[in-house]
Amino acid sequence: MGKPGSVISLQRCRALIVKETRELLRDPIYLGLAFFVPMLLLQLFGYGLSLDVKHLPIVFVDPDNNAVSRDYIDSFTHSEYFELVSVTRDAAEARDLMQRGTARVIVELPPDFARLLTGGDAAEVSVHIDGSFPTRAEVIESYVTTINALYNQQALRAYVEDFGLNADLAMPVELRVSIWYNPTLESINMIVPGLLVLILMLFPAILGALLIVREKEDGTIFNLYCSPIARWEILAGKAVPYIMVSFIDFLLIFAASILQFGVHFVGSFLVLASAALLYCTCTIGLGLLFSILTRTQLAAMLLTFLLTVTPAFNYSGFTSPVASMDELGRLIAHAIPATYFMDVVRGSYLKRLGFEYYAGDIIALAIYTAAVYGLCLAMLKKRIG
Amino acid sequence: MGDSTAVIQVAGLAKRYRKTTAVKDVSFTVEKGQILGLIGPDGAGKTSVIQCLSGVLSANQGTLSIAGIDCLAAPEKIKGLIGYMPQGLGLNLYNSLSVDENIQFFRELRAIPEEQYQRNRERLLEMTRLKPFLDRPAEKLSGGMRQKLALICTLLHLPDVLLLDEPTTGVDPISRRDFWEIIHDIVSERQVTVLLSTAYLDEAERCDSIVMMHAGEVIAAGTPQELAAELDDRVLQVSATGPEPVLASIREWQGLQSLDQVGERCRILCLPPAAGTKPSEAFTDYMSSRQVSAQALDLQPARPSLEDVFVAHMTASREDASAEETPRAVAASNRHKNIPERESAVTTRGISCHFGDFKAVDRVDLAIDSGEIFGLLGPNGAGKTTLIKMLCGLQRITSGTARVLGCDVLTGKKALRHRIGYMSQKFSLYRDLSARENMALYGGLFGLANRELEGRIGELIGQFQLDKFSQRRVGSLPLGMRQRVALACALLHQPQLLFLDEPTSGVDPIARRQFWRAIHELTQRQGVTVIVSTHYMDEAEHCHRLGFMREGRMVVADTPAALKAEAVTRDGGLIAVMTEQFAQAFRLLKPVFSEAIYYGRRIQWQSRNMDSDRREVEKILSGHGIEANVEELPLSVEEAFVNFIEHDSRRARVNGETG
Amino acid sequence: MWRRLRVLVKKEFLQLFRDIPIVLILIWGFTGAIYVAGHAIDIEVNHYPIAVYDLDNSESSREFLARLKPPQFKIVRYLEDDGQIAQTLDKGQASLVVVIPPGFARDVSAHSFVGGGTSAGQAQLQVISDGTQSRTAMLAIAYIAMIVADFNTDLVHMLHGDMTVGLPASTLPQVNLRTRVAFNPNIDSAWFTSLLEMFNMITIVSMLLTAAALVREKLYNTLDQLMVTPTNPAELFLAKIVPALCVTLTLSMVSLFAVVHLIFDTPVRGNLVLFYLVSALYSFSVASLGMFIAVFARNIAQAMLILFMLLLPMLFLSGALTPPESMSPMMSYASLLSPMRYYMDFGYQVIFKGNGIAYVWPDVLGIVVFGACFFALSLARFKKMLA
Repeated sequence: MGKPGSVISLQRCRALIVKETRELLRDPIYLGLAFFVPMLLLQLFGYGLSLDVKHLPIVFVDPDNNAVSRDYIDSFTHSEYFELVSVTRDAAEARDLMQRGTARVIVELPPDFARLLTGGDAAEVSVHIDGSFPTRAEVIESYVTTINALYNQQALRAYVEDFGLNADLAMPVELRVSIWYNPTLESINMIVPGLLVLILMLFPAILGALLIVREKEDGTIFNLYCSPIARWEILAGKAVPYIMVSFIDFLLIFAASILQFGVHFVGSFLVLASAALLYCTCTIGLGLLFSILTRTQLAAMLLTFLLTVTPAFNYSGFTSPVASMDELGRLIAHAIPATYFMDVVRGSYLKRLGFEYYAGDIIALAIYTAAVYGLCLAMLKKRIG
Repeated sequence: MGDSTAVIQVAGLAKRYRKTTAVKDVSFTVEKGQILGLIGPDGAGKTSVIQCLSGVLSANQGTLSIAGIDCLAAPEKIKGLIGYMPQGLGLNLYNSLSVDENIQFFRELRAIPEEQYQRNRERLLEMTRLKPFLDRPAEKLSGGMRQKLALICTLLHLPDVLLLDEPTTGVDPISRRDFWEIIHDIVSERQVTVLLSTAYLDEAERCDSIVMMHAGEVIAAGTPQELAAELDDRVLQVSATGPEPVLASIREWQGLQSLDQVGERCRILCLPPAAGTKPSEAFTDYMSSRQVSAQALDLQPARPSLEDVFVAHMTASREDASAEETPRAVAASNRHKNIPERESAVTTRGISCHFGDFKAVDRVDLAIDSGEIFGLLGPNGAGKTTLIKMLCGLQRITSGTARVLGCDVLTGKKALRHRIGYMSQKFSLYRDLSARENMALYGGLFGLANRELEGRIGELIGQFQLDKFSQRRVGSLPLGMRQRVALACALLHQPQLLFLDEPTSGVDPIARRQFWRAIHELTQRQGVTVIVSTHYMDEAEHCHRLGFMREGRMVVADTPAALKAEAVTRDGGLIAVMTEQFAQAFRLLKPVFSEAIYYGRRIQWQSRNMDSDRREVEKILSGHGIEANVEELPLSVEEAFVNFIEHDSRRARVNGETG
Repeated sequence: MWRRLRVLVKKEFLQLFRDIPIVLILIWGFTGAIYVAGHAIDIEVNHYPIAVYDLDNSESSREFLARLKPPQFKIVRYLEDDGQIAQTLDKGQASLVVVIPPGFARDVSAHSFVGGGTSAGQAQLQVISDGTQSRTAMLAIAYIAMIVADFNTDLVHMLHGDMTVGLPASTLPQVNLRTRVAFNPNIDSAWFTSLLEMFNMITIVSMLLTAAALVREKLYNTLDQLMVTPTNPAELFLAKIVPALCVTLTLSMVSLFAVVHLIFDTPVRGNLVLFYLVSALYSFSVASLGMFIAVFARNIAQAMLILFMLLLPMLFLSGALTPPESMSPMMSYASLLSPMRYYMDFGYQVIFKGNGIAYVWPDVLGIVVFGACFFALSLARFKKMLA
């Protein structure tokens, strides 16, 4: 018959790629979500987010009110971590300030604070921390205890000196800290790479989730069902333009991270870029999978939100390390691709390591991707009903 | 290879959905280069058959093959051979892509070689006259243009087999003619095999064979002639201008199977006669027993059409034979609303609606009396829908004034809503609700009390025979059934003025007849005014007056008879050539008579020189050994319409060139 | 009017409940998804993986190491040679390495306040931290420093408390902290994250359901049919919002009691009437925003994408990722534009702190202002679209 056989199948794939690209470029909304919003979030967070909690509003209840107690209070307020709201005698007033959210921590000194300390005794101070925001509570707790410990050492020294001993002498154990990879502990070095992982998880999945279900709802899906196009060609044709878009996002974010935010990058760009390509392929594939499984765009979107956005926020290791999680948590963390990519990204930016260190993550990501597309292929039927 | 000529073979096909049986035991074959028409009432299972053949739907039983390939076992193998066009206007197009880009997409999707693509594309663009619109996005095309573009996309890869699901539903008559010319061309050129379903029975007449389905089964099959032959002698025509008691007597005749009043004529389908008797004689005898003579009736035998065949089969196979008479029941229960006679229902003065530079409606003056049925005809995109929407208060008016039922459309919008009913062109009920739920919603919105509402719903469900479907989700109903539900919803609050925008699009002939009977009842008994747009030209005969629209303007508005007369005066009477080899005859005649077109199986055109043309035709055809019957026919609304529209566009072109 | 509104609302409900996949997804979203989110650990120094390279292996070193205990720390590995330090950190097996040099015990016991030089009798303890996750690293170091300080104090007591240098017995001046975390005593992050997820769901579901319902009407041309009935845009508008509101409120009750309270033991301290009233107000405002989007969108895909365009910055800015204290001024101004910020603050105050209207009125005001703006704007656009 001289019919074009399945040999030139790449052309059919290209047909879809061209079509998808055209539709994408023609719709300002698609473009906005693909490029503008990711960059907007990066700007907001790159500049706006500082994970170092400072200037925490603090209230003291100091019924003693003398040089010793004020000295103790000063040890807090002289640091940049706390900002004094007020010093009061009335515990109830302090509680109310915390209830309102005006203060996040109350330090309540006993009435005989000075007497106990000067007498070489232990004084008990109550600290109340606002626990409604757990990460903040945790930070406050560590600040308070650290400052208190420093005060104690000082107090001890002063006391020892009073007894005519050499107060310049050090304590029995000296702690020496060295920090690797990010010696200044700048949070930008952690936030921007983390955002890269999050953004490349959310946006590709959302865009991908509409790809097939939209044609189902519009009725144009029959074009694909009734043509000789193979199922893998449908998947490839749909995915490729969006993988490209996501990869461009990656390049943009990467460029911004270096040029604009000055994040250190010591690893191999090649390794990072190839992992990113794999990761984008994977997240687009996840979107496609939701698109294949649902019948309406609304369902696809809700499903995407529930299965990617929320877990990516909580489990990818963006804020808390995966190692800190329990069994179930780690299971969930490993069920989302972001976890694997996070390792590669954090490592590539800050650790000068060879490819072999990421091989495990990259292989896991590859297996994950293959599984996603395999599932897509299995679930995509060129049939209705 | 087996039987080498049968391209499509269907044997014992059955398809069940979860609860319903769509198709049970359907068998037929289509030979190479033949056109098979699939006809039947809404919900007969036509779409399921086509979808099974195109490999997108699995079947429960039976075998299907295309060119010897099993469609069920190897659906992927047939997809290179077929072109499938789903139901709905240009449903397979991508809206944000231009005409050209849509075509390119299908080209690459089908991996069409360059040279073949170029040739085909040019050819198809020319045939469909879409070439000037290559850069226009698909969403900005009119319905007819969309459908033609969809056809281009389906034909681009030169499929050997075409599967078309109601390709012309909702398409204007002029575009439909283009459409069929394309089909005939590719069939005769490339021996393409075509399977199509259609609700237009005049189109079905030009198929090589017909399969008539009902309730998932084939109830008749054969060539159109064979099917029509079954009805020899059973179709009669009488004048309908006689007094009402005459028509009443006809209705009471025992031998009557169905009666259809179209304009001034009545078409009578007689029940199968007893052996050795002729129905016409029995009818004459009966009428003379009622003191009515055959002369007074102007009784004439009529040639059975496919529509008669359809009606004969359907009314015979319908469980409820009395269904035909139901409209009267509705009338009885209606609370009559008194309106002074001959009050003007709609008056417009120079109303226009502009979308940017585009004039959707351009200075239309209209005066419609109450109780009138006013038909709006025009090609897709002529502005019919916009005009109707403006009169309903759904579309802002750029300039001019419109008064509806004595109120200004703009200021009296709220008050008017209780008094008008509207049925939009695109199906606009909630697909995920059942018919009953939809009706309850609209009734509730119109403030009908629960008891009254229940009563109305019951009545309308009865009237439109929706009992079996009233609990099903509207989205799962076939097109025609949906339209009935939509009409029922528009009638719930008993409006005085009804706007119907292509209400019968895709509806089967019997349902359309019932529909029109209901419309007549409404106008005659309750003085309801109806403004209706349609692409069915036979329906236009039902209207008291017709308005022809083109490019936003009202070209003419008058009674059907006056319009026909004017068209004859302008371009002469209708010459019709009827022959078995109509396709061949058409190819011979077209170069000589460029206006010649198909209508059903006949070839026809308007001729100023009736006698000389007739001789010319006979000479040409007999020269090729074709036997033909050439005669002059009265003009139908369709010819009048085409005449006016083409005349107007010619005039516009001349004006455009000079000015 | 009420009757028309009633039939319209009934219709919306029928349509919603007929969409079985959506109903299932919604139920999951308000139960399973909240459980999953609540299960995530939001506390950072929690079982922080550390490796130990103990070259001394003495009683003292073991005593010190014993203080590195859960829940903050977890010793995942004991190293055997220098090379393993880099390896462990590179691979991320542990985020912190504690090196105890040889002679640790000896140096500790040799400590004296009397002696001359500083070098004599001071034990060195080395900590190498992986700084990639900067904030967690900082916190972990702070914890270690605290442990070392305590360890020192105890050592001083033990070594010198026996009057050998003339210090009074048994006590030394020292401030002991009795820390209590109010509202969430164990800093259980599930309390926070499960509620956060619930707030997220309320936001997204209110917006998505209304927007999808309206765009669907636009696509299927059902609006024209409605507009020729005596109903008016305001009724249609409300009819679209009411079901989303009812669904989110009902489901959020389920999740608040069945998941947040029952499974995670989160205390519900505030006035529930207040909580649900304001939640309804909030749901109404974001649903109005959803309507606004739907009026603009030309198809469902666009509506969904615009929604996410707004939703993601809203989530990011709500203060869910960072407490307002950590935001830069620019960002905290930007966060004022996220209605979710007010609602979250309100929700945590009422549920955790049991605060009444006297405390939360600024948040409620914020929600009301946003709601009024969204409602007025989208109703105006909606009317214009229908006209």
